[in-house]
Amino acid sequence: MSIDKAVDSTSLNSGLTSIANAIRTKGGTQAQLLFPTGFVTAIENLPSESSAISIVDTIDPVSGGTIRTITGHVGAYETWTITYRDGTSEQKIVMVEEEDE
Amino acid sequence: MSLQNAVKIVIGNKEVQKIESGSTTVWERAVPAGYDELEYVQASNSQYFFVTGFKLSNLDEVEAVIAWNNAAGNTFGCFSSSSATDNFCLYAGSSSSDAYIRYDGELKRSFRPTSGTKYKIVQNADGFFANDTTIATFAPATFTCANDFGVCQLTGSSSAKFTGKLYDIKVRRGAALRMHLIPAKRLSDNKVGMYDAVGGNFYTSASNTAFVAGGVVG
Repeated sequence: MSIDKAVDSTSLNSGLTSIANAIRTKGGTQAQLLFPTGFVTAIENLPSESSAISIVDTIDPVSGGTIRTITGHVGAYETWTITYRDGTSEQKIVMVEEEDE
Repeated sequence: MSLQNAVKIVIGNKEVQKIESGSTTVWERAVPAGYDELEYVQASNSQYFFVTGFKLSNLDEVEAVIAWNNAAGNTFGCFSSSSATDNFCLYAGSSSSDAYIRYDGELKRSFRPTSGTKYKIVQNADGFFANDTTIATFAPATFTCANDFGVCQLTGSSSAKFTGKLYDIKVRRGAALRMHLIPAKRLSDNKVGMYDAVGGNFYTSASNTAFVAGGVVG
């Protein structure tokens, strides 16, 4: 292999790390990405639809209880903040799938 | 079970209180973290509470899921007197007698609940309904109750208190929920009562006899 251009390896590594971090953030993973195949696969796996959900509360005519219907784009990713009963909380990236009635 | 119908969510060994997506609440426990939600609270002609300042009018609807015991008793609502025109209440018998359904100055007696059977009852300006069956209809009226809303006893009445189980009580005005009473136990002192998910208040028995707790939901 011949060398046709000299590059600044520090700048290149920094640039690749920035791209990998963006992919990991969007994809909800901390995994290392092997250049270039890991980058390509990770980008191909990112959801293409925008995330959006709809929440509708209705009253169950029999029990009188509230039924919460959650719908969203199939494959849409949401970052959910989960607060636990003990007061702690954490964020999880989840895939929201369309609910069957 | 899908998330929408979940009454309890546990991740790992921790129980979830609330799930949010941005500013949208996806799911939330019916009662705050310091309370256990109960299937019902049970009364035995001793327990009751009044909601100070909370009065019903012809704009309101009361929806309750209740099971009566054999003994009759005041169930819910605002009551002035049998001759008054500002009543909005239910005094229900079981196998012993028909219920007294009062609305404005009207009295309807066409409902006799079966002991131990759970009913969803609705009372509003259109009438009184049990499990979506029309029991009585009311003539149009405009009024506001002078007395406060009571549960298991009515202000101004010395009649027997409610005997049976309370599963859920909602008060709506149009589409707005004014009150949602959920059976609950406060963990800090183990008091049993009903938590108002709208007002954020917890009501325990005003008498010396505590409500009896049903099982913890979930």
